[in-house]
Amino acid sequence: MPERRVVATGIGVISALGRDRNEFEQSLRAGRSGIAPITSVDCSSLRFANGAEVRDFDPLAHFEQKHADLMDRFTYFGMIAAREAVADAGIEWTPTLRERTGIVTGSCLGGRVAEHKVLAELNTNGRARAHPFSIPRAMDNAAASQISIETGVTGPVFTISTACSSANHAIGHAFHMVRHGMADLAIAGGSESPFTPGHLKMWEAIRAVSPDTCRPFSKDRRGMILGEGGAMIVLESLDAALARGATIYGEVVGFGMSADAHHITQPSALGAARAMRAALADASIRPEQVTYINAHGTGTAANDPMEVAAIRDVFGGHADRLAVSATKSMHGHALGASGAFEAAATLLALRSGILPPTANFTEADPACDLDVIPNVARESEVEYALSNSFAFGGLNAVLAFRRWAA
Amino acid sequence: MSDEFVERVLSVIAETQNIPREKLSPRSSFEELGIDSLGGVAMVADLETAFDVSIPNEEVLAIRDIGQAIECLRRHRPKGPAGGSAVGS
Repeated sequence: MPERRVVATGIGVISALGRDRNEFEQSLRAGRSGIAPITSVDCSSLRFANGAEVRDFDPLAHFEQKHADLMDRFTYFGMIAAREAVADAGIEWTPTLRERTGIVTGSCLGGRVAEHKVLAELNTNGRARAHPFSIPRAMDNAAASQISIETGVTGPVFTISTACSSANHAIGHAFHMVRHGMADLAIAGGSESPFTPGHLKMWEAIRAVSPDTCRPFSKDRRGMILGEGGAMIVLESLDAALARGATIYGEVVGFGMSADAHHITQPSALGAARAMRAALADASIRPEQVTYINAHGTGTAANDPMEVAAIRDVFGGHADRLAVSATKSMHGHALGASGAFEAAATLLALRSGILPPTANFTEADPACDLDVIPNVARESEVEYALSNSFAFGGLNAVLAFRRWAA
Repeated sequence: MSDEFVERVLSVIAETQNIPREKLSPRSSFEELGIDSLGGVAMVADLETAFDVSIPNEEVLAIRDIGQAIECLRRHRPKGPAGGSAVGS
């Protein structure tokens, strides 16, 4: 089968930036950060107290009690994002389409909130038994499986866990499945819910979380800020989208992966650069054709200069003509969901011609000397964009997108 | 810097990081001890526990040798006659 062009026709997002895709997009355009004091966990014994939480979330506004009882918070977010994406795409399910659809979800942690409750019951409250729903709630593939059960999708359904690159790996594999005819439609993205006392303690210990906010590429950056939520994207072949008159956000044109084979936490610019080059090659485009990059941009001491060095390595002199922004400054670092937030942000920017800024930016860092769209969104018609994800453990995944001009 | 305090820090490092005590001195760099950035964070975490102190991220991430770790601990240990007693010693 010849390669098919693949487009995004539906986007769903629930995040600290709002309950849906529209609120997400409006916040990004306004440069409004969702970072605030963490409310779901007592942070009095932690070195940090801020996060990008989904506020005032009530699962019973979305699910019947019996259904809600089976799921962890990360699954709620994945389900809600998938519902919005599928509705947005205007999918009308048929038995054939259900068989020809795939679902690929990313999650770094899986159901840690559910697991935390089990451990608290056993260790603190002296219970002898865990709840029988604990495994179905906690398993990493719960979101993929619940989306499959609700939609009736029976094609290839799986979950990828590559830490902070999970969602990019998920979207990239879904893209390749549709491109090569293994599926006609795919729902792909990620969801995450990292706010548990134990998990926050683990992040405190590794010294990567900022005590105030997330300032990617700023000289005074102090680390990342954890976020949560879910984002899902509906992918289908261009021909199918055109045939049914779907609204097209943009085209997915490339996916590149690499491994650093270097260190379990320290990133390598060589690995990051190889993933960007692989995405460009997969898209059959030259570096000069790219004008926007949604950066991995975590705001840690280690990531940001490494990423800038990798971009300079790949793009050479063209790097100075790139616009690069780190939207983690607004939606936080939602680990296995981050790539999906950033893919959504990139597709929305390609469609609207408004590039999201790097929020909370204060002072330029000579080690991060790119145009990072400080604080204020920018009008710019971009033809090709990249979205970078680089994970702990040195696992890199980069997506390439193209603006859709009808 | 009291020799006694330095000695206590070096003993804790030797014990928690499984490094022979005779290989450790305030002049030892992490590099020559084979300690990378993540190992350095782990070493300081053990020292924080042993000396009951809390050190901010920026200071921890800047430490490159044993002398800097000792200085950092001295700045943060509780003041007073009992200050700096290692837990369990």
